[in-house]
Amino acid sequence: MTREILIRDLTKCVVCDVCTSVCRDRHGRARMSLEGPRFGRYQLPNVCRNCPDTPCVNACRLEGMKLHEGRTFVTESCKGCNKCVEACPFDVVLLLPNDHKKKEGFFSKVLGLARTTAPKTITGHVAADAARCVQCGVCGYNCPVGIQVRDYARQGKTVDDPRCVQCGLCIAVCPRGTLRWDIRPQVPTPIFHADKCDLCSGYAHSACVKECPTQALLRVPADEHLLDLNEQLYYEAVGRYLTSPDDWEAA
Amino acid sequence: MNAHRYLILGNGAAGVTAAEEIRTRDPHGHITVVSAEPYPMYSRPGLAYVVINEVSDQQVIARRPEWYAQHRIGIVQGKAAHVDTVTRQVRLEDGAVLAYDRLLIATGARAVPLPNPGAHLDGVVYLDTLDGTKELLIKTKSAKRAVVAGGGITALEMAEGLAHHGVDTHYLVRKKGLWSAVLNDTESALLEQRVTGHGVTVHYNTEIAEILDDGAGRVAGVKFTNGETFACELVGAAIGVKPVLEFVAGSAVITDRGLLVNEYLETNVPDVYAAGDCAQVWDRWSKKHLLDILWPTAIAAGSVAGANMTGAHDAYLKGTPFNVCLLFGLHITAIGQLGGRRDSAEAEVLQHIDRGTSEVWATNPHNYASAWAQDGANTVRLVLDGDVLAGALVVGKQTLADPLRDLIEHQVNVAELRPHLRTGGPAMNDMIEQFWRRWQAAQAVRKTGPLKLQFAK
Repeated sequence: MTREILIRDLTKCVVCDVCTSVCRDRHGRARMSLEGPRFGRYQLPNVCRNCPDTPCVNACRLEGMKLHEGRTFVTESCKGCNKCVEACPFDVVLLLPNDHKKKEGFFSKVLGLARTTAPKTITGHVAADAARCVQCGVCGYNCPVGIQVRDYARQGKTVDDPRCVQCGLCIAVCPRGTLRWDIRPQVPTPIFHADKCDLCSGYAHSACVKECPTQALLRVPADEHLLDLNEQLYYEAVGRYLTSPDDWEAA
Repeated sequence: MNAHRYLILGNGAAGVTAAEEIRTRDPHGHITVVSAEPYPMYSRPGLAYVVINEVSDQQVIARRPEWYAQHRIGIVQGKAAHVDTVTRQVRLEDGAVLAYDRLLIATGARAVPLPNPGAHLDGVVYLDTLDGTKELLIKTKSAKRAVVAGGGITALEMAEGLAHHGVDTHYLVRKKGLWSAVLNDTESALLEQRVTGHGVTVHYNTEIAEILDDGAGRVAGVKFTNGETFACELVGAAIGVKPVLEFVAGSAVITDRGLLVNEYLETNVPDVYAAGDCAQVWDRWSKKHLLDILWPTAIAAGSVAGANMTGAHDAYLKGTPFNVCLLFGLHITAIGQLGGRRDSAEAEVLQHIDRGTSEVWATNPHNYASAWAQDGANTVRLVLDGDVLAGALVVGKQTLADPLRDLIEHQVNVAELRPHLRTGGPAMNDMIEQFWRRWQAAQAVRKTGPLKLQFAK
């Protein structure tokens, strides 16, 4: 299945902001904004472009970001480790705090004093087996918040750094199986999850496209069809990715 | 009382652990560490992950320079040239003389240079030091084709690194089978699948006879023992490591392949200790003095040596030689005695021990028996000495690695597992895991005592 992107037809758009408000209604946050590069009649809104080289999926080591049928989306395995946010070239992936359900008890109903079930302390702890550790530093290198897990491993201590997001990346990447969960993090941890436009996967239609009163927002396959619309736009959305990854890094 | 002067030769795992241990026990002693390289202590096993770009070269540095200052550990860069045990002085190569009250030799081991003509040429690289690794990484940018020689972990890691950087890598094996000192045929074949899958070409029964010069002091190719020539720009050499001992020659310290030490890690000369890769320690499995070029062993020995240098009298009980390696995405864990190949009576003289390897692995237990289970790409091989587990090799899935290490370390009698060991197969793995859990529960009871009900009087 070909990948699709959102474009805006400037001749039709009346900037009524219905698209962003329906997006906010559906996802709790407007995952798109209308600013973006303009190519003649069309414009690319600032939203996930489903890049063909999928830097977010490549950055994720925990299957938290997946590519399926031409679109990338955040899965339930996301632990909010920030890797995809760093990798995204267009800054359209964000970390959001996970919702913690409010306790619906007497006080919340009568007095409005709802308490969340958010964990009071960090429950997950990474523990290390000092005998297996060779101080190679793969753990700390991969840690999204820069904790030197190695120093804890050397002393055989559990990682009690308050910055730990309990993403489990150090455990996943340790080449020698030194690290393990001492206390496995429980729901509702992890604290964060990544959030980005997935073209309303799970819904029949993309809300913004469907609700646009002037039908200015289009969901077009980013292949030859886009080339018919606007050559410049096509190369912006596709062509710049077709270069080698080295050129991309240099840029 | 004057503060003791502790001198530690070697800034590696054993030396730094010893320094740390001394500092916790003797807050007033003068500790000096002599380092041959201009870096703080770094992780040699980590170099394997530097070559495949898994970590940066900054990240392998395991202790920041501030750490030395915080622990008041002096660092002297240089190499020891001579040890005088009578006047208690160490002379460095640059002429400086350091006096000591207690000396720890933890100089480790260095890669053996290729014995062939042309080994000095530009383009012969070693994965042994941080400098060597950096050089290797720079060379991969321009090299098209590379040859890797060596039979152990380091050679495979180097081949993986070169292939990762897009160099057409050819791996030369002197015998038939990869890492044949430890792996059996099936395990070698499993590894070979991974190796070729990463784009490395394996040449069996091939050996370098000569490295060819391109006229400008660079490598132009290699000549094999069968007369063929092979054009390449890089020659990766990992034919083993050798303890650094040259400077003790002429002193009273007795050496064999390494420094011979007793169970307190003392050499035959009082107040001279040795630990780490350069120390040859009594092994309770093979009943011999053997070398271990392993990180955890160095840490454990360094800690005991440090304690003994401050006046403690702790015996060092060598743990199970144990290493996990990640080669071409395949986890391999080797524990204890694995038994060399039965046909490996051929001259071992040529072969040096490799980094990340223990000599114990190649030894056979007295009453040799083995068990084997394979499930696709995951295998478990057990070596038994009578009814006691003596060694294990786990390839692929690592769930059994920890239980087996526990059982081998504590020399648990596994007689009740015998029938399952004889049948082998996946059922064996489950039985071992269950057995280990039962054993662990029994250990816990033994430690805390059986649960007793207490009644209030």
